[in-house]
This record gives sequence, C-alpha cells and structure tokens, in this order.
Amino acid sequence: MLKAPSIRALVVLALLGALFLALPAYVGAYGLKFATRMIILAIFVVSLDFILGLAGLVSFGHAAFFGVGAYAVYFVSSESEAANVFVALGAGVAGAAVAALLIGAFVCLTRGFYFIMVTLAAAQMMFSLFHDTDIAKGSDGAYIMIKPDLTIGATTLIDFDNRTTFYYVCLALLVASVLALFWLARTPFGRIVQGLKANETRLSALGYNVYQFKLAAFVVAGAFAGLAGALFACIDGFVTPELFSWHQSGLAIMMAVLGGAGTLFGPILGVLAYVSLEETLKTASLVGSFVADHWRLGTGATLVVAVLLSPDGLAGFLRGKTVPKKVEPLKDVMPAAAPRKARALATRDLSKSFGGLRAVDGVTADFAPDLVHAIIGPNGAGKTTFTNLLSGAFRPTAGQILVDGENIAGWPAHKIARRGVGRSFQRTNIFATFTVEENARIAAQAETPSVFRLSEGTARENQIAKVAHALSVVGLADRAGAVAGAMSNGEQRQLEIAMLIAGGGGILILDEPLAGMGPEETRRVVELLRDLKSDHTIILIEHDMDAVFAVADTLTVLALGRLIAHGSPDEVRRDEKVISAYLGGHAPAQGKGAPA
Amino acid sequence: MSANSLLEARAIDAFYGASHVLRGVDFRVGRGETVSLLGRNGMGKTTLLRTLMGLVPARGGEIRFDGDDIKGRRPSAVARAGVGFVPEGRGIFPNLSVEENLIFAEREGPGGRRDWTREAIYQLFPRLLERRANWGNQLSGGEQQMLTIGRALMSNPTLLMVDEATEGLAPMVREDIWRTLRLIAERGVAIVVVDKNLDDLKKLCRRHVILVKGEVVFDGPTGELAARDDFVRSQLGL
Repeated sequence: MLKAPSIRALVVLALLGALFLALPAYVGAYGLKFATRMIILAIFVVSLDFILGLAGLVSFGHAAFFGVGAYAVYFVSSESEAANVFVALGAGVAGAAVAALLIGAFVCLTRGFYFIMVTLAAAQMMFSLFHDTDIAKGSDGAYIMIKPDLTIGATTLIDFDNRTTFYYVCLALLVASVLALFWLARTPFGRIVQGLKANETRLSALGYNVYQFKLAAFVVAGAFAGLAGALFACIDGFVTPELFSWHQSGLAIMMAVLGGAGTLFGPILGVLAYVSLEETLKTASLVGSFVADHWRLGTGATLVVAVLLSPDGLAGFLRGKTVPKKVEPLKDVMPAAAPRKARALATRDLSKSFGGLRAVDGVTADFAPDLVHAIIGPNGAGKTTFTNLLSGAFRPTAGQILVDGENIAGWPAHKIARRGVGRSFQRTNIFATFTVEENARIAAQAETPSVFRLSEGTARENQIAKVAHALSVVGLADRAGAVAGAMSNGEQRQLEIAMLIAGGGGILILDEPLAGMGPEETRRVVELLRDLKSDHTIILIEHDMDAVFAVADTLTVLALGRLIAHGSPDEVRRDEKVISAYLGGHAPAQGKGAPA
Repeated sequence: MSANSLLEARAIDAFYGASHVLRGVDFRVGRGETVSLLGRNGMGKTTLLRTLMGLVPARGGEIRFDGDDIKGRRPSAVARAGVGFVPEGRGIFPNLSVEENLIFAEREGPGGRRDWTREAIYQLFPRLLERRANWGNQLSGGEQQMLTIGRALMSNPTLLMVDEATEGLAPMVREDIWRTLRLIAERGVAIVVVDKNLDDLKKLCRRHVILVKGEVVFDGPTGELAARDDFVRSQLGL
C-alpha cells in the first residue's frame, strides 16, 4: 500500500517547492512558461499514477482526458469576453470526468493487455473525433481568444493572461492535486483501489464489486487529467488534437515509471527529469549539434540506463525512514457482534461441466447451520469446483444453490459474499504487497463494501477490533506489520483464515485450510472451527483426516464429481465405497466402528 | 570436504527483503543420502532450499556441490550441476501436455548419466502414463505433484530437493508420493525433503535437520531424533 514519503523525499520535495516558489524572480518569460508547462505535466502524470501505480491499470489512453480538459476551456470561452476561471477549470474537470465515465464504463470490463489496447483505442477515437471533424476547427487546432480570468465587479483578481499569476495558480493546483490524491489513497476507498492491483479475485470474494472500484478510480484519474488539460490550454490559448495523441499517453507512462510509479510524488520527479533531459539534449550549444540533432536517441539511451539503475524510479533513491507516527497497538478485544447473517446452505442437482468433463455432477446436499460439514474425496473429485460454485467464482451449468432458501446460483461472486458467504482459497490468495494488518483490514472493511467511502466513521473502532481479533486467533498478532508476500507459505495460510474471520460471513467455506500448516497451527485452527461453529455454518474441505474426524459433524464424499456418501462421520467411515475411493487405511481409529 | 559429501554448505546467511532468514547455516548431504529438513513455518526451510538452488542469493559462507563452488551461480547452472528442485506449489507448465512437460526437462545428468527416461518415469508413476496426453492444467493436485517430481528427475539429478510435496494431497496419494520417493532414493539419488509429516519423514530419511529462526538446532540420525523426543516435539510444536 501507498507509504508515506520518507524524510529524505520530503526534504527533496520541500527544496523543490522552495525553488519553484522563488523561480519567477529569477527567470524570464521563456523560463517561466517552461516551468509552467512542467508543473501542468506533473499534474497530468500524477493523475495517471493514481490508476497506473496504485490500481495497476495500465492506461495507454490517459491523454484523452487531458485533451478533453483542454478543449472544454475552448468550448466555454467566447471571442469577446474572458471566461471565469472556475467555469473554465470546472468545465475541464467535469468534461474529463464525464468522458472517463463513458469510456471507463467499457474499458473497465477488460483487464491486462486488453485494458491497454482498449484505452489506446478509445484515446485514438477521441483524437480522430477532434482531428477529422470540425467540431473544434479540426486538425489545425483552435485558439482561445481571451484567457480565463476571475473578475468581481470591476476588479480582476486572477488573470490567466498574467504569466506569473498563472504560474502560481498551477503550482498551487499541483500541490493540491498531489495532496488530494494522497488523501484519497489512504481512505477506505483508496485501500480497495490499491487492492485491485494486488489481488482482484480476492476483492470479489470479499464482496467488493471490482468493476465499480475500477471505474471510480478511472474517473478520479480522468478528472485530474482534465484539470491538467484545462490549465495546459491556458498556457498559449491554443488547443490541438495532438493533445489526445498516444504519444502524449505514452510519454506520461514513461515519466511516471522514470519517477517511480505508485508513489504519487515520484511522477513529479519523473517529469522534471525527463523534460530537463530533453531540453538539455536539444540544446546544441550544450551538447553539440550531432547530439542535438538526434536528441531522441539520447533520451532513449538515458531512460534505459535510468531504469536499469533504479527499477523503482527516481523515487527509489529517496527511500528511507519516514516521519515516525504513533502506532496503535493491536489489542485483542472482542469486536461487536455482527447482525445475524444467512446460514442455511443447500444445493439441488448442482452441476458444472467444462467442455465434456462433468466436474460436479448433480450434487444435492443440505448443510445445516451451526455445524461443521466436511467435504472429502480424492484429488480431482470436484471439491474445489464445488466451492467455486458455492462462492460464485464459477457459474453452475445447472442446479440450484440455496442460501436460507433463496437461490443464488449464477450470482456474481461479490454479491454472494455480501449475502454472507465467505471463503478461503486452496492456493493462498492474499494481497501480497500489503502488510498482514492491511490484508485483514480489507477483509474487515467488507462489511460496508460500497464504493464511495472516504471515511470509516464510527465503524473504524470495530474494524480495528475485528482485525486484532482475527490476527490473534490465528496466531499472527505479532506479525501485523510484516509484508504478507514475504512471509512463509504457512504463515500466509494463517492469514487466509484470519481474513475469512475478519470478513464476518455467516457461512464459511474453507478450502484446505490446514495444507501447509504445522501441528501447532493445525491444533489452533481445529479449536477455532469448534468455536466458530456455534454461530456459523462451516464447509470444510480438507485432506487431514485426523482434523476432519476431530471436528466434522457431517461428511460429504465426492468422487468424479458425484456425491457418493453423505452422513455422520461414523457412517461414512464404514462406507465401503468411501474406503476404496479415498480413505484406504487412513480413517483414524476413533470412536466405534473404525475400519480394521 | 569429505569424499562422500555431495552437497556441503557452510555458514550460509540469507535475507528475504529486510529480514535475516538464514543465520550461519551449515548443511551437508552425502551421496545417495536422504535428509529431512524440519521446523515450524517461517523458520527458513524453503529459503534454505531456494538459497542452495541459487534462487535466493547467499550472503557469506560457501556452497560446494560435487566439489565445485556453486555459490552465486545462476539456478540454471546449479540445475546443470545435478540439483533437481521440486518447489512448493508445483509450477508445471499448464499449457503443455504431461509428455511435453517431461520432454522439456530431459537432459543428461552429471557424467552423462541417463538413468531417468520418460519410460522410467512412467514406470514410477503409472498414473502419468494414463494422462500423458492431458494438459498440465487438467491434472489433479496429486498428478501435478507426480509430474513435478518426474520432471525434476528427467534432468538426471544426483540430488533431489523436494519442498512440501504432500501438501494438499489425499491420504492415498500421499502414500503414493512417499513410496515413490523411497524408490528414487533406492536408485541412488540423494534427497532433501521438507514436509510436515514426521512419521513419514522418519521412514524415508536417515538424517534430520531442524531449523529454528534460521539456525540449525538439531542435526542427527533418526535414532537420535527419537531419543530426544521431548526436545524435537518442543521445537516442532508437536
């Protein structure tokens, strides 16, 4: 998750800030315009970093919103009178936000390479729209005759035609944008946005509608890009379709990566470095005419070297201690009891086919509340497919899944999770770049999974309590600050369970929770299951027969996708079919009727 | 280095990010020897295997394999020297068939040995022969594990390192894996195993090493492990 900048980075940023504040006193008109351009580009690239670095969405069409912001100023300006600055910039932000909403509604349906391609295509469409039609003077570009100002009565308070005024407005807006995005990244909303990058599947399983979060992040980034575009239009009072071009988008990605994507302040360094480099290499009096003629080669080579030297960008050089802040110790207090959630689970003729393979074949079973139901069967029997159907990761081919009598078959995963069905995954599925505490926090936050949550409000205390409780139950309380991906496999398994508990579902599906756990943790989880079942319905898939026979109230045996036995452990233990298909000599000799 | 030593690591330190995971670990495997690596979660077992394999850089100390210094070598070079690695989580090629997965790894071992051919692997795991045309992603967990072990053997290693091979497997399949590992050991391949099932490990391995917080706290034969039962149980949390 986004870390606070180190003390070193803060010092560098403060020095840069002071330098830029003092700049107008020392440079001429050209220098000031040059600095203004850099500042505006920085707003643009920081806005890109919000989706690129934080949400992990590689948009190759971010310039579309920059362009819309610029053209919006053109549209609200008249030839005889200056537009109000709030109207002009507001139009830029709003126009870009609407464009991002419309484009985002489609592109956020895709992921990976497709996302890159579709954003690129959308931006090219915008380019063509302004290039090939005469809605804004076509390919020649258009002039804004009178730049926006802010006039009250007869006094002009802010005039964008005044270079120095305009410069300071841009500088102030850059600082405000960075702070705003930083704040946003640390809200509950921002936490989920960063979860998109770390693990989308898990977010759905926790009950978050990832599409909505992607779209919201896309619109936020688009709106800030629109602000940058609107300001850009006011530098020269000239807009051109080139503002939409994919060069512009590509350049922004390059500057973000050069500066350090995912830090929100790195992109500022990236812009400064890139633009300075380009200007230096273009100046024949400094580097000679040969280099100046081929300056692109020079920037290219320098970028390659820079990326090799510091894969984390320039911000990577500024890592170090952060300003110490008070850490609230995690106390294991019992969180407030959640409202009673759905609990009775049943399936009717549930089936799933993959091509010709019937992975789950007509399974009908009832899982009553307040019991532990174990599902066992050989590898490949369809157990994991069965849980994927219950949790909505797969759509059933046929049949019903009933939660408290309501058929949820075919619902998307996040809706099923919100109905109170929580699951853990067979292959560890956590937010690897987050700390243990942040992982559990995302799970705890899922009780209110709506998008527009900028503050936890009164729920905060209880969420922290839920996190502390969940971590201490699985024995990870003293690992709260560890980065999850750097822990051992077994510890990550423990975290899986902690997230399930923090998530607070009434029906818990655990897919091989004990795989990878040592004897101590196994005992702890078995104890935990016994505790939890008093107010949960638990579905347990597990190969550890000692544990299964120790906690299970009912046993369901699957083989080749079919239900071959369903009943009490003692009945199932004696079942010939089960012994030959699965148990062999491994049913623990416990209670009466153990096989010889 | 004694004459029948195959792998000899001395005073190994390794880090995972900022955390100091291995602290001066000495670890030795003789030719054809079977050794278990024990310890609670997060004590450095997997990191030790990964360090020996060259996947995690060793800071300080030395690693010798078959007389050669392999410390700092790339994983591919360590594999060519004769170390086969069966990682936790398997990592088979999902879009290749079972047969293709095996062909991919086919290589002469040290000294031009070709003890392990596809036929030999199919003999060891008849189940893989049945599924040899299936893609990697169509296999059950147990079959994937068999394929990973088979694939490691195709490079004719003199040392096989196996990390949590029985995790997540049904009891009968587990039994299969243990039996196969014993067969592999009988054919002279040295084996290092990380696993949670102490009883099975005692049947397979002659020597046992316990790691606690990145340090070796026990290194001895099965008899001694049994003799110091209380100590072992407390170290492993049994």
